[in-house]
Amino acid sequence: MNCRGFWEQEPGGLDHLNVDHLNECPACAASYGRHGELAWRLRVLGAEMRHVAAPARVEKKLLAAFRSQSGFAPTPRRMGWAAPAVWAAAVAATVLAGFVLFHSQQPQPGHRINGRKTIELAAVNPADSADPAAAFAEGYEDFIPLPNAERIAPNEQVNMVRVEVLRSAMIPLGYAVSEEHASDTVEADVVLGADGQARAVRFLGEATNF
Amino acid sequence: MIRTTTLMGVLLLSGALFAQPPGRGPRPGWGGGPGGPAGRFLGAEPGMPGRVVKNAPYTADVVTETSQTLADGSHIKQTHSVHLSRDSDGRTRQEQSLQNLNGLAPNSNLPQVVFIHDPVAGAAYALNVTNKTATKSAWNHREPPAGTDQGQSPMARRGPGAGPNAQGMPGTRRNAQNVKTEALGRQTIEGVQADGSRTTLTIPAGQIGNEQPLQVVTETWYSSDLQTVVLRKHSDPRSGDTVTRMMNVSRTEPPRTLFDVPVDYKLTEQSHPARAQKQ
Repeated sequence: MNCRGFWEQEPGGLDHLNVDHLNECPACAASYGRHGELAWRLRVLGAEMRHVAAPARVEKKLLAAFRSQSGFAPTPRRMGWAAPAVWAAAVAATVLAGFVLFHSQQPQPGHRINGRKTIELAAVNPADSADPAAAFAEGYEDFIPLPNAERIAPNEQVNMVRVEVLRSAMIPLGYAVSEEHASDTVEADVVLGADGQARAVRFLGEATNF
Repeated sequence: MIRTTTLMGVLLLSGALFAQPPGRGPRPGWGGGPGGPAGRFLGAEPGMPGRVVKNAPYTADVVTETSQTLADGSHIKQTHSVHLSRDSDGRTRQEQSLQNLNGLAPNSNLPQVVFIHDPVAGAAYALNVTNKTATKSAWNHREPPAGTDQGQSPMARRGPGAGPNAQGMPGTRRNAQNVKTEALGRQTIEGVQADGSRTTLTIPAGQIGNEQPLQVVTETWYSSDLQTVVLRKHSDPRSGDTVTRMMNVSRTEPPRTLFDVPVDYKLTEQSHPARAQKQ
């Protein structure tokens, strides 16, 4: 199966794709991992915002802006077609915003030596390399697995410490750190597994901008 | 209209949720701490709790030894230990040193920390033994999806029959023909009856650019009484060998006070789990 064939499988969501192709295509594996994380984030967002409603005036202004920009005239509610249109546009905008925001959270591409590094390190267990989306437990997707550490298993009891370390500690994780900044410090959250071992790390703030 | 309103709210608030501004410095409640030239401790916080196991109390040291052989024939060996306690109500206490955090903070002097998860009180604590401070968080347990084995801790899930291809990741298809699992029978380890299994994953030549087939072997010894793995050996030619074993196992009920914050500790409440915040 080639890349096109992989992504054009029978629709049914990411969970229903035949993932054999990911074993042989790092690009698709990386993309699949990002899709999985985005889907999970959107699900979490939806769950968290289930009971949230915008003020009526905000909704009114948004609808008015949408209609003016799209050319739709205000339509009596009984016609029933405007609501689906608004709904579809809002969903599309949400998904688009999710993509944009998701990618804005990632380290700057130029700062990673190898964009595949995260997935390769996450899949310490070779059998898991076919499933980059499952490489991390929920809630810890933005952490980078430490070399030779086991992955964080779903529902594993974990704990966390925040430390300040030298920037040079980022080099083994695939970050490019110049000599002049190697002795600078950077804050990091470190996840400890159920066995107390450091498993994964995320660098805070502007840590990736150097 | 309500649904549309909700959706608009989601749209507006998603930006605020995702676009948290970066910040620096410890958050309130984390506190400062000791360290060395290559690492400074800023704070600790309990994370996601695992499966609650009741009526199986124990205390034990869990010792993990890792060894790697480098291309020049030299070795890297590390040993790490944690003292674990669990009472009959499912409370857990994990006491450990941070050492070098798997190489992140070499030559540092990070403190001893204690993590307590108390499902009965619905609270979790992180204790800094050095400066006698504690951070309290809500015990935020998530039930695993029905029909999965995610309700078990990773140690528990690696019981007999479990292996690289049997970890129950939903929605994935694994290539099972390269995985072989065999039962190793039963033996007593550290005074505990345990059932063994060995899972061998073979990576065929060429699959990841390897000239020869690679074998990743995981051997686990699972105690049904303790509902956890008491011995685990993992060997991967790419990353080395790891042996995790329970030692000094005692099945007596640990003192209740182990799961309380000592009265002379300064306690701070943490309103949001750290894992949800990237400051």
